Amino acid sequence: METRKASPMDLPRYMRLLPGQTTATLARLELVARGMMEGFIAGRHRSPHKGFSVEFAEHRQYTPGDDLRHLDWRLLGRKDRLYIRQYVEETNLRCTVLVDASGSMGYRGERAAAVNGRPASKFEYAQYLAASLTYLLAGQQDAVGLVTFDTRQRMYIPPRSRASQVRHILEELDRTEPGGETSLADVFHDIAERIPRRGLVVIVSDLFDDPDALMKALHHFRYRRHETIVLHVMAEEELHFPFEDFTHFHDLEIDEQELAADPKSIRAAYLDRVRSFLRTVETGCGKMEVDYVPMSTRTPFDRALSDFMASRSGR
Amino acid sequence: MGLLAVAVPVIVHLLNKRTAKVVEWGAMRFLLDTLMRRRRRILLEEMLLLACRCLLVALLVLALARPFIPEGSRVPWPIVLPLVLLAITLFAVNFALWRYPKWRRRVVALALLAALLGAGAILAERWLNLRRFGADPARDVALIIDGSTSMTMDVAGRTNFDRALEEARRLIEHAPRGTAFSLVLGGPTPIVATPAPVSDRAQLYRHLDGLRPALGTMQTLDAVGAALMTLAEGHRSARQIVVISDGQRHGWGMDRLEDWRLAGAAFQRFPSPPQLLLRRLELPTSIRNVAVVDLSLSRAVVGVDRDVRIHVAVHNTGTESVTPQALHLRVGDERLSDFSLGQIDPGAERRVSFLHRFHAPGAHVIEAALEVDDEMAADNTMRRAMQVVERVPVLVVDGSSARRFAQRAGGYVTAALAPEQRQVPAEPPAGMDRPEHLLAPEWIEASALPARDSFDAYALVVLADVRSLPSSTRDRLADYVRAGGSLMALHGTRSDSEFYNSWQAGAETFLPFPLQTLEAPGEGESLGFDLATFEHTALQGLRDDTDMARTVLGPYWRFGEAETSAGRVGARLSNGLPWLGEVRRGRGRALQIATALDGSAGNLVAQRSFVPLVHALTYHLTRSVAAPLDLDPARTHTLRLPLAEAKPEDEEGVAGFWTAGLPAEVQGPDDARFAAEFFSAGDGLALRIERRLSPGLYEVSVPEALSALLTPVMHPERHTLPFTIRADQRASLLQPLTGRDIDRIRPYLDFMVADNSEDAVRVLTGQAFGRELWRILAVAAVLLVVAETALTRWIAIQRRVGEKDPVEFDAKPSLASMGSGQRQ
Repeated sequence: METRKASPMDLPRYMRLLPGQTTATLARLELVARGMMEGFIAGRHRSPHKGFSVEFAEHRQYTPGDDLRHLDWRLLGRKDRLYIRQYVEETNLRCTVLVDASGSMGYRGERAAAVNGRPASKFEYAQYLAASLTYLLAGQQDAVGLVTFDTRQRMYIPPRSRASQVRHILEELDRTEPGGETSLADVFHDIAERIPRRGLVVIVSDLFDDPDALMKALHHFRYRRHETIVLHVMAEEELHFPFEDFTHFHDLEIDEQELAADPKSIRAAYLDRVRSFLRTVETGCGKMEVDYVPMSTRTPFDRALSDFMASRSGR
Repeated sequence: MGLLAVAVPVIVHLLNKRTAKVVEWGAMRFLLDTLMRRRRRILLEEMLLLACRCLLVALLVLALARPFIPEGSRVPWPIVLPLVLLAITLFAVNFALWRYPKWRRRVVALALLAALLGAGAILAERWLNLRRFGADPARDVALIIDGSTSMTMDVAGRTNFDRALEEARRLIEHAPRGTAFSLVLGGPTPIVATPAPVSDRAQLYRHLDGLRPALGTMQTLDAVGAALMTLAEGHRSARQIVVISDGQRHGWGMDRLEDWRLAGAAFQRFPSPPQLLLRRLELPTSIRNVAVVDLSLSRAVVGVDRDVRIHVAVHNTGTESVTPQALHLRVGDERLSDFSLGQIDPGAERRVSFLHRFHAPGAHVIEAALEVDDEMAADNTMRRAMQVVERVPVLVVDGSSARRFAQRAGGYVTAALAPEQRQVPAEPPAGMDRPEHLLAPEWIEASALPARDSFDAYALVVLADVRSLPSSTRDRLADYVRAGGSLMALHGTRSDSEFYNSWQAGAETFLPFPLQTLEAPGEGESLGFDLATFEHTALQGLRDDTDMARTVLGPYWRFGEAETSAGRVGARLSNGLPWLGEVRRGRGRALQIATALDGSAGNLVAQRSFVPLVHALTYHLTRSVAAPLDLDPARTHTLRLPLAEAKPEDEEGVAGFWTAGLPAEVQGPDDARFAAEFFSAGDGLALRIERRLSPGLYEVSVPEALSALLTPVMHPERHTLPFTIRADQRASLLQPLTGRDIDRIRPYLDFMVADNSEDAVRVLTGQAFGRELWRILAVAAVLLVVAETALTRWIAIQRRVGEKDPVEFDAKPSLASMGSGQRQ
């Protein structure tokens, strides 16, 4: 947290992943895990582990939506200020963020929301999302981990709640470049086995894989009792296919694969295909009680995130 | 070369692909899926559009290049042209198929095949054309200028004849250097203006200026023959015949294809056969024209004793109804009567006849003139020169010596020829002597005949049931016939078959048929005429005669009909045996009848038709008495003229003339003057004109020395000898030569038709020409534009279906609102 107070000139490179206004927004957010969650805020969640100590850690300014039970009434009486009491042992949430670093994530649409002065690629968008989540969770003293993958798992940072964890994750995120093919299903099975305790799994991906295999893999997470959130990142162009002129589509994943087509002649069929894909994914997630969040890169990621948070905490 | 523009859509298509943006794309799996499913459809659309566009460009380029189907082409262009277009289309489609090498190869092979066929056809055509039109600029060209009546028609203020002359000038002017022309004026007989091809332009122009319409029908075959003769005089290897005409079917001899075949054979005899080009001048679609198409007299021999009926026929040869103001009839300077004809519809013919009696023997000119405002003035008048004969002496030789007139064999005939005086009007018209009968019979007994030295004074000798004649008399008679006299032999019971059958002319009998047996009708058998067999010219008028049908005949001679005989049966009895026969002997005729014409021959003499029968036969046999002054068009003309008296022996003044001939001047239509020659012919005189004459009236100034001799054929007042050349005024029946007609001539010779002078000039400069196609191509291109637009739109619409509903990719708003609802 100290780094934020330092001069912008001295910011490490990875801090670009947390633009100023984003952190401000995030400061007032809290990620609320749904379902059975181990070691989450006492009294608020039913916890399988009973009788753990509740040690006061610090005060935090009240933001609307906070449970009034945690309000420090004495402080209110004395100073007439709204503060929330936070406890050390509250941070028992173990969250693993899975970031898809396959080639297809490298797509940079013209219509994407600009971050740091240029339209974000899907991967950049995913980076920002992951960074923001990390920051947010770390801020809540939760344990955050990171997995980056393409066809296989590239890097695994197990969830920890150390102070250096945020920097560690952010550096890793910053280092990662998209590339390679997508094979979500295998990776997901792998990761599902690797995460030792059940916790929160956030998948940031375009999900470009066979929907059936994907659903099976997601099911694996659920089978391991992980709370799963899918942040489905797609570019505006992929959704609307706005191309007019004859175009060579060069595959971002397999270098030699290229496809020449007149976009006008295939648009209808393409959109149809996308629609059915989205429908399959969404209904599949719904059935498995996986939280499915579509995110178009056109929406600025902080707003998308806060909308998601808002909808989530409302439940 | 322009067809290379077809590559434009292809290049655009390829460039479109080549210059396409490259997009680094992530959602490849959807694209691949989509393409897999849509590939066929996309390919089809692409092929259709590409084919459409290439075809469009090809059509436009072709239309701009203004191609034509060469005249008289032997290449089936309706197949070849689509083949070329197909090749272009396939070539275009091949580019859409670049992902399917197998199909591409097939399409390319097909396109190549079609292109090869097309190119082969084009090359073949070019080669044929090169052979037809040749590269040799020096050529002989025979120009035939149609001088027929229809060419004098006024079309938009000028006659087609003037146009033809102008066209000829144009051709001469634009022909390449070294081209030699010969000129032929087409008419009833062709008139050759230059016997051999001439390359001196000035001389050609002079000849052209001298040409006048020949009138009548252009006999195209004759004109082409004359043109071929002139070409044969030329020495250049390439030859052409150009007919400048309004293309009237009449005169093209469409019913004489055999002659065209012969003409074609004549063409083939040239080392390189000449081409025949018809430069067709335009005719208006609506024509106002009436023509006098017939002017004839009811009798072949006309005298001053009786009225003669003159027939006039007026025909509407145009396409509009015309009402002539009047039809004027004139004989010489005398205006006879005017007729009002009323309205004549197109194709209709109005006949008018009137009676006229000539006042004086000699040559007369009858004229029928229409007073009408129509487009061809030339055919509104018809003139006919004819000789009115003073007397026709007939010698009736009677075989019986019965005292009573009615019992004589020749009595009835003589009586029929010269009715009693009281039948002639008592008061002859003013200025005329009491007319004598035209037919002047002289009756003698057979026994008196040998005393006659000559029969030249008679137009006809009738042997009325003469038993036999001494051989000297018989030979004299035969000579008389051969020199132009006529003999009529009537065979009754007295005739001696032995005598008649021994009278030989070569291997045959002198008379048409030998006599076999004298037969009589059996008991109760009624022998009459079979009127249906009355084919003889003189008997035609009696075919429907009821009197003749009721006739009952007595004994008759059975003729020996020999197939080799020159004699022809002119009428038959009701039992099928011949009754009348005729044969030509020398310049005269011999007529033979199987019965007598007297009281023994049944009731024929008692019939009312008897007199007309005898007259008709007499007029028929004596028609050579009148000099033929109305002539058919021919290459040279010879008029045989009868003399007023026997040819004088060598006398002072005319001595040299009988051997050397005597020149005379002829004045023709348009005041043309030229020379002719009188010469001695047999027992008479003849006028020889050594040139082709066009239809019209001609007058010969008779030299002083001959005027007395030629009185019978001279105009009573003008003292000239008129004659007319007949015009076939039905030629103005405007019936254009059709494409089918042309196709019928084509197998025999290289025949082309040019409808404008550019094409005609093109042929002379050795180029091909033909039917332009650009209009059809342009229409096809427009249709294709419409098709292309429709196709594009249809494809666009097809594509837009399914694009309408956007892909939903947002968090369900319901969830958010639900959440907020809970919060409150």
